[in-house]
Amino acid sequence: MAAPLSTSNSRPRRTLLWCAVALALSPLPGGWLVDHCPLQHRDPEMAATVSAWQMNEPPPNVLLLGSSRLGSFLRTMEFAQTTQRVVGGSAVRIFNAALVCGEPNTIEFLTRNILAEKKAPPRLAIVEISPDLLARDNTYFKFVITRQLVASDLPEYLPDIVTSGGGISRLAASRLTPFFLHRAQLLDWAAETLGFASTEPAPSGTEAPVEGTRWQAVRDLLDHRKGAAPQRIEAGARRFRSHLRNYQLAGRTSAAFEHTVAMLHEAGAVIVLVQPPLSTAQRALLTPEIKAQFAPFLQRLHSEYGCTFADFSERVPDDLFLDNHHGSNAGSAVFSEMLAREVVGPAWTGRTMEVSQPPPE
Amino acid sequence: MLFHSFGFFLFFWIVFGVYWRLREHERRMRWLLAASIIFYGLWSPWFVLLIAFTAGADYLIALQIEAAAQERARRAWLVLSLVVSLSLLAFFKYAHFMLEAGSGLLALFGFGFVPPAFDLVLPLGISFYTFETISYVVDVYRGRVRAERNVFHYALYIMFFPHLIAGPIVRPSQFLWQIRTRKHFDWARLQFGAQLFLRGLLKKAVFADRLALVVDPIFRAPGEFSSATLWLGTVAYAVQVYCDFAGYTDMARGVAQAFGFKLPINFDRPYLAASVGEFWRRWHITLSSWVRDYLYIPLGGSRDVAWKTYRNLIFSMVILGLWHGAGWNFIVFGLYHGVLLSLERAFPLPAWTQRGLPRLARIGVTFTVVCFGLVIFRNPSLAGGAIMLQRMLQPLAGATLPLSVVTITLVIIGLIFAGHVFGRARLWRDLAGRVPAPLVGVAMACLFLLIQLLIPEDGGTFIYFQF
Repeated sequence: MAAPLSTSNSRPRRTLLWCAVALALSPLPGGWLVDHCPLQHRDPEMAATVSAWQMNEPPPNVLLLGSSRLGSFLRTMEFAQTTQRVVGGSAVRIFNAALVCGEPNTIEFLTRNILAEKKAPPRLAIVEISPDLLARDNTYFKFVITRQLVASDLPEYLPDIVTSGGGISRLAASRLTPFFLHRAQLLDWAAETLGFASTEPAPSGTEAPVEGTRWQAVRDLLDHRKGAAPQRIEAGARRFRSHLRNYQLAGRTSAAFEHTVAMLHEAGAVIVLVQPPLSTAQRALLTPEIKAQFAPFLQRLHSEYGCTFADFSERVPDDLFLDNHHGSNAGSAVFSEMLAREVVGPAWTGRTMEVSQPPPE
Repeated sequence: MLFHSFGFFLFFWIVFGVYWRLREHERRMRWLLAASIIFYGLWSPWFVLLIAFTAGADYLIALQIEAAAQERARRAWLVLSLVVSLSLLAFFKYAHFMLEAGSGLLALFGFGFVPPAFDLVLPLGISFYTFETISYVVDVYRGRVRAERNVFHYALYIMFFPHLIAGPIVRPSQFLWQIRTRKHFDWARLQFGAQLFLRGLLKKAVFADRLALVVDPIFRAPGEFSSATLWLGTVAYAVQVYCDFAGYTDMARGVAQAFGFKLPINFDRPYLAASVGEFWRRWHITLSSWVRDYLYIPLGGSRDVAWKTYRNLIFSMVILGLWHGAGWNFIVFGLYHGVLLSLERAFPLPAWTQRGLPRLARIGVTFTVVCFGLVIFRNPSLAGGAIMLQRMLQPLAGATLPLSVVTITLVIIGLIFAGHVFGRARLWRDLAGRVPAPLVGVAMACLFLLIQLLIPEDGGTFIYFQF
């Protein structure tokens, strides 16, 4: 490499031009590789969830879909036991499919994968809903680009990517420097193809879901972050503020949510939309204007798909939060009990839910 | 702004594009100075003022030294410059350590003194630019360079962004003339710079950052690992710290080449050294030669009786150790190397050991003693270093690393040693000249893509930024 400087400028110029051309063309093969990267490498958490669903025998009949909000607030084992007690020993088999950063587009993708499996569809689907996660520019939208977007999706997603915070830069990084942004995924894939085990440790919180331990690990991780819970609540809520400034319940994200509900409805599942607990600071972000857009959306889901709605956003005090929207161990015990008794039990037995409200007009 | 970040990529292309669009040489230099101020100011705008003060004071003092007719006046100006530069360095870098050491010393005599708690931010690159300003004033005093009249040129010498934060430590005689010389765009120089940058990026972003994932847990809890793992961790650290700093230097030199500047070589295959003395002639060359020229030789060097030479060696090496940071580990590291250098001088090995197998054995021994030094260097507490050395020398069982991690670590270590042995071979230069240009260009692009692919997810900052 340490070649002496050449006196002629023609050769180095050609060398650098060829280098530039090769780099300019590199997004094409890189993008192709990203698009064809198998799910277990592209999004190991989702692949593990789909695989767990596939392997669960007998098939689960209650499916919980949502983000880490729902996941962190659920203690799956205790929740399942309480539900069993509430429904009186019926064979209720719970499957918690909550995902880290599981915003509506991701949940739609997951639901499509789950329902594509040749298994009995769930009888009851508990789907997390929250106005902030339905925002066109939702906080986690940019992760969709990394975990699931392929080139053919671009026309559909582009308008929302353009308007979402951080979307454009992530799309540019994903499509122009695929070898860098998707390096962990591509390396994992290459390692498997070449017969080597991956040397990259799995990022925390994305390991294969093991009932009862996975979300505990996420809670532990969140609990060990810097600062006390009150500061984390404030800091976490601040992150959402900019995304909710020009709130629009429209575009790809709300369409994805509706499509998820439609798929579940078509599969014959009873659908309960659950708004998980939110800290005071997080709730304060949901202005009357935001709520005014949320209410008709809920109403439409109710009238078209028969969804009922259970609002737990104000049911858990702030001291049971790890940050603005994730539950502590104590918080998850409280919420699991409430969800089992007030939502799943009644919904399973066909009774009217105690907390379910008709969607506001 | 790290060299291997997207932010720097954008910054570089803007600065590079404007630089070569400007026709006038002086405008180019001022543009580079402005870019350097922005580069540093992005980290902390306030500390730009600190550099401006240090550099400004030394600029004026150097002019006074040159203008002064009497030796006493010249010497007084020199002392003033040293006091200003070293006081600032001592305040920002060593104040806390000195107060704590003072408190400990007073406690020994029964005086209770609790040092005030303050949290000083260490200005980035202060150790590097302070040594540069000192070398400038001393060289003017010695009459080796003329005091620079053009304040922009002088400021650019200190602040030129490729070397500002982590060196190499540039002497005025190496750089000021380059600032005065008109630059011409040169594709060959650009290609050379790009290749240097790629080489540095590979060393830093791939090798050093990947080894950090292995090294950090081992040094965090050395008591938990087996002796073999500690040996592996130590060798991995030796390679990591080399790749980290030599990688930075390569990138800095590559960036400088793109603007038509040449920065000095800082590392010359240091792990091929057959003695500790040779090691320091190959490792962080600009620092060790600075210590030699501005400390060891003025102290008397090896001109006097043997014990004075050893004293000078040990003192110089302790200062060199302290340069890395305020901690007892750095002092002991310097002391250790000072003693080793003195021993080498006291008991010189015969010339025949410099060839063939004996030389190979000497390289192995030198590398081992350097590794022992790095154990002291890397452990913030002396007790931690002692535990680690004890466990390395006394075979003990303990935690081990997964086979895949050991394999990757050994591959990286092997590649770096192969680079040491074959990196300068004439074969590569001949080959590079014969391969068609398009193939070389595509190979460079592929290497860049491969580096991107191999950068670990949680790549860190440069080790030498903390110094």
